[in-house]
Amino acid sequence: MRKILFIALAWIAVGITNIFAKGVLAGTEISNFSTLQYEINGVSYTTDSNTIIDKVDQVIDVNVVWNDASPIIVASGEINRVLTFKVTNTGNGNDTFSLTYDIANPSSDFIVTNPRIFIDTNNNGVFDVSIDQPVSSTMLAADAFATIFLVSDMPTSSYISGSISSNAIEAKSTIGGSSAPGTIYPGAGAGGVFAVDGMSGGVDKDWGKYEMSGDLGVKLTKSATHSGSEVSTGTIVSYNIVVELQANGSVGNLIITDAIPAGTTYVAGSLKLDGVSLTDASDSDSGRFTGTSIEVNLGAATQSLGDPYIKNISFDVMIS
Amino acid sequence: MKKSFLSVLSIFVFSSIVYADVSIKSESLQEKTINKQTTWVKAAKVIPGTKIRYVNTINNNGNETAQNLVVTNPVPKHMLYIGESAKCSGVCSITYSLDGKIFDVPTKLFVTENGKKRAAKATEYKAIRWVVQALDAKQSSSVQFDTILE
Repeated sequence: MRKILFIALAWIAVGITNIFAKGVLAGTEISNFSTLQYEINGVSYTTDSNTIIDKVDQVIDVNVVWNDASPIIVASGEINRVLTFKVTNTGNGNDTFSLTYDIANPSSDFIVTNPRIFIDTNNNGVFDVSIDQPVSSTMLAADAFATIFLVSDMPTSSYISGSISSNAIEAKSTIGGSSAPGTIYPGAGAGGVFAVDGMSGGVDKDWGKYEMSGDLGVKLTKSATHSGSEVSTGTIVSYNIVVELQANGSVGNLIITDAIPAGTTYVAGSLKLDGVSLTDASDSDSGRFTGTSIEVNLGAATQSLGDPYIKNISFDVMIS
Repeated sequence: MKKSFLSVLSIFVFSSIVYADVSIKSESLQEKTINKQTTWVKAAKVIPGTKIRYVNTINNNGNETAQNLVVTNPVPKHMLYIGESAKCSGVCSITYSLDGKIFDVPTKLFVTENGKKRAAKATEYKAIRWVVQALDAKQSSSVQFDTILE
């Protein structure tokens, strides 16, 4: 154990800080020799040195990039929607990379279903459902890349337009892939040379995004109560509007307006947001009475898992 | 006829003995840092970006002083010469070549790029030559240069 640690430290010391992104192929022989000419008593001689051969060891590196220009616009219930990734062997030798997906991003507003990984079998850059093959790994030569598709189905529930789902592809070297740069694998490289995890640690991951299109999904629930058992002139009717988002996500400029019913008169100063009074004037607070309706500007509304968005707007009218 | 054959043979034998008494040995080294102390050790783990030092040691084990010693070392394929790293243990003159044939000092080495002549970069040197005036009997001397693996 101590010896392995020592070797690892030594490796870091000898060059890991200065790895080229692309370089000479692992297993390449670097040979050196020199020639000496000299004279003794006016007679010339020539001799060659020994030849040194150093074999290039293998750097394990991989780069994963989400390759779509912008989030893929989806709708609830759609199937076989595609995120496109580019997986490049940035090391200097052949390597097989295992491919896995991650659909559990804490920042996602919705979670996709039925995720599958395919490789662009016909190299046309586009997912062809009847041609491209499902894969769990891919062998890549140094500097070679593969186009990988993460194909998923969208949930059937409705979501706010603009809701995002982040999903990743991870590629991990099967030679190394410790995620710790400088980790060595004696004899595991091309042709039996040493292998070492490079700057990526032999593993990389990138996230792509789906974006939900569709209705806003803001839910309003209005209720009314009044004093006394009968409604007659002078009866005060209290309205309450519950504002909710139907899915996780954000909406901006959320403004709730409600017209004062015919035959009633707005009770001045009765407008409240979550029990806190708002002035009737157009001023710094979010509410106002326009003369014919109440209006509350809720601005940006955000809901996330475990933190539901809910607002209560209330106001009173008098039966006239 | 017999006499001349013997004299040729004696020169050959004499030459061979002298020849064997001055030798040159090449080795490759790389940096190793342990506890912030950097030393050069035999190259063993070579990856793109690794700095390699090549050292040629000349040993004169004969009884005569060797003169006008010229060491020529092509820069190995895939290695880039690091400017001003060529040195020698004693007094020497150092020249460089862009083609392995014509050697000169850096200020006189030029390449033509897109029709324009410019000073050659150290990374474009293809060979290095050291000239040592003399190496006394039973003495050794060394020359070296540093490179980086592409």
